[in-house]
Amino acid sequence: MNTYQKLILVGTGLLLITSCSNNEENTKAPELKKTAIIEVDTTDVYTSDDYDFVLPRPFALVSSFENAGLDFVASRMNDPKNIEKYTTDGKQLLNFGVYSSDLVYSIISDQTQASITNFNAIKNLADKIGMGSIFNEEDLAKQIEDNISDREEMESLMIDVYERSQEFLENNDMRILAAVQFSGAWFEGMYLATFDVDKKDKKKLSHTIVDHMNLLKQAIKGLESYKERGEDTAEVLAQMKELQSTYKAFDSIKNAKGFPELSPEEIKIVTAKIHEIRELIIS
Amino acid sequence: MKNLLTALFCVFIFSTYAQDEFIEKVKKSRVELRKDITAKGLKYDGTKTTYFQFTDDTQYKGIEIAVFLRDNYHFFFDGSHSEGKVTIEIYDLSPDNPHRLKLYEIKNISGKKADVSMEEILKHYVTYGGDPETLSSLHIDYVIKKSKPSRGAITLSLGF
Repeated sequence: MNTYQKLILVGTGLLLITSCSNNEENTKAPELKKTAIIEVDTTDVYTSDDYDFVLPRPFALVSSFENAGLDFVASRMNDPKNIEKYTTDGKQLLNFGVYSSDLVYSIISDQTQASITNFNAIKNLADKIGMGSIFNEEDLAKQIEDNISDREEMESLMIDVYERSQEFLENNDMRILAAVQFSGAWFEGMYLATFDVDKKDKKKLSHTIVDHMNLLKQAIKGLESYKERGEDTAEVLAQMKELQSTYKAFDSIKNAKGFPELSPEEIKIVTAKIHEIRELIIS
Repeated sequence: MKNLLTALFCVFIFSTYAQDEFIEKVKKSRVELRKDITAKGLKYDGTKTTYFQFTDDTQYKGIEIAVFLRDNYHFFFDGSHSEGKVTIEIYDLSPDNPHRLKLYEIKNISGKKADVSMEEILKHYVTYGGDPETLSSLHIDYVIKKSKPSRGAITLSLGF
């Protein structure tokens, strides 16, 4: 702890003691105490963990599946009407990630109407989570609406959306929640990429799945750190851990010498589990 | 007593202000790094700032980046907001793995900016006998040397 911080602590401590001992000011004590605690906590908000992870952006996540094949089918995306069902913070954050991936899926497939629908879903969820203000700065919402059919421009604007939501969460001491959002985005990407697996190049698909499965541990860590998760989010976490155990027990993973190649059967098992968890997330 | 309290209160306000100012400067440097990336004709793909306090001991902080998502990432570091020495080490595996290889090093980033591409890092990886196809993540260690107590931050931005 540096000198400034020590002085802050001593100073706030003295202010608290003085305010408590003075009858005239006793009525103001709770407010003063609240302020002091917030100021001290601000230091911790900006001290990073010893080991951290750069959470991939939804655009990078979803577009990375393009090489392995990613056909557009509108009904595969989460229905924006489902937003009304998401009443817990955990479900709202997970599905903020889901709709972000659906938006990227629409953009890279040149589906303007679907992009608009998914963008509106994200905006509605942002309002519910309390971070609707991220779209007000520099009229981000209007910029997105104006450029919704321009993949390149949208890629940059989506990064803005992502960064502002991250900054919002950081500024409000809710860094952990960014990882919850990432988990939703990751599952949706994996879900969209694992349709029609029989028709896809198995080698390419296996390579993509193995690469992406390295991100599962980060998604698990993120949900584990989120202590206020409700029952529904806890169930998602339990299923994610089960997926990881199943994957680690695959022969091609256990016996890998070099980069593992999943068998068609293993791809099907992973796919089924991912689809099951995704249903749980959006339900 | 009143004077003492006033003085302490002033220190408190000044510290809070100084703290906010530090954060604002760091946030500005994030914007600048994004400009540096686009100025080089690359696309921007995100930022991660690592905050710390210099102390009497050397400390380590690390970050992991999934590198398979883009064809050729470029890593841009900004150490302008670190008064003490910070060395950046880039590895193929996590710190708990005794077989990890150091693929790149930036000796002291303090007060400076530096960048390195994935292509360059992979050259070193191949030299050590690694297969670039298998390198899904990079692990970056910040070695924060002992220094007089002050706040510090290193920002990493990704371009591709």
